[in-house]
Amino acid sequence: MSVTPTPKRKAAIFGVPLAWIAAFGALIGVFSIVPMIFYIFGGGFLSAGMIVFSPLAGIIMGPWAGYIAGLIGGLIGMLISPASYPLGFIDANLSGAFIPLYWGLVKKNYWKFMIPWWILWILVAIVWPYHIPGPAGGYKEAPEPYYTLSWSWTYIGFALYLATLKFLNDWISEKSTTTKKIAGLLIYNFIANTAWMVPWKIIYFALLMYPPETVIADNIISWWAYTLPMVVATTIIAYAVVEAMRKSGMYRPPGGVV
Amino acid sequence: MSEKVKPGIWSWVFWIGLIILAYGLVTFSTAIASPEAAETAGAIGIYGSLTVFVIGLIMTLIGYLKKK
Repeated sequence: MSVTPTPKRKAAIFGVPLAWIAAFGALIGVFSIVPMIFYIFGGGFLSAGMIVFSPLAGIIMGPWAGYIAGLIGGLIGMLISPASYPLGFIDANLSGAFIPLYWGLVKKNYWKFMIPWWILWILVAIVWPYHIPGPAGGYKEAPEPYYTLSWSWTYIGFALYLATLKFLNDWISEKSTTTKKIAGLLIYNFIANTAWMVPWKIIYFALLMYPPETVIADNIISWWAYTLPMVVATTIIAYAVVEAMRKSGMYRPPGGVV
Repeated sequence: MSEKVKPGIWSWVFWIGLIILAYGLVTFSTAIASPEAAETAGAIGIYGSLTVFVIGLIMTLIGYLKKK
């Protein structure tokens, strides 16, 4: 199959045409008003922009171009749907730009950045803010070991990332079988989801000063309330879009996994 | 290098239907997951997402059967 060559004469960032970045940014922003996953405790939702277009941006364009598109989308979303971005510019990063960043970073090529970045956020989540500054900063001391164990999905995601690092990209490559592609995308999306949720959650919890017991409860329900629906939806959508792109012979940005 | 494969109209119906199906399935299942979520979603969110799911299912099935 022939693939459309790199658009050399067109403006591009990280090998991705600016028009693609702008289009993804606009889609992420506009779809921030469309609910997709309702919070189990009520009060809000994860938007279709976050669940559909943000992971796609990372998978198709790679982490760096994806980050730019996500930030554009987050800024648009922050203005047109403030309820979806209660932390303003911080949320434009956490709920906008960080999703394509993480979904792009799972690709094997970025392991030197991904591994220390992920470990750093795990350490931040365990220590800050419920132990340091803890009561001195107005936060209730987190009960241990329950608090640290409640982040178990990210430890499992990290172990799975290390275990599948060598072959995951081959599983989701064009030459792979359908079964391996779907299984590979499920694993890929699980890894990305469990990595991204660490900064996304802990910054919310810290800035909104949630009690540690609420954090533990929210972490425990995350398995099926956030991770399961997001991973399933993203896998179906990513499989459909990636396969359609491959079959149509569209240009494939070098940073992505298409 | 072999010839470029152009997907037909029913192939697009299938893939787009699959995406719509995934959206409807996830949105509907989380909208009815708890009374608080159902309250946030409202009747429009619940029945709307169910309708989207059914539309996606029909598109996926028709696209799959016709594209063969």
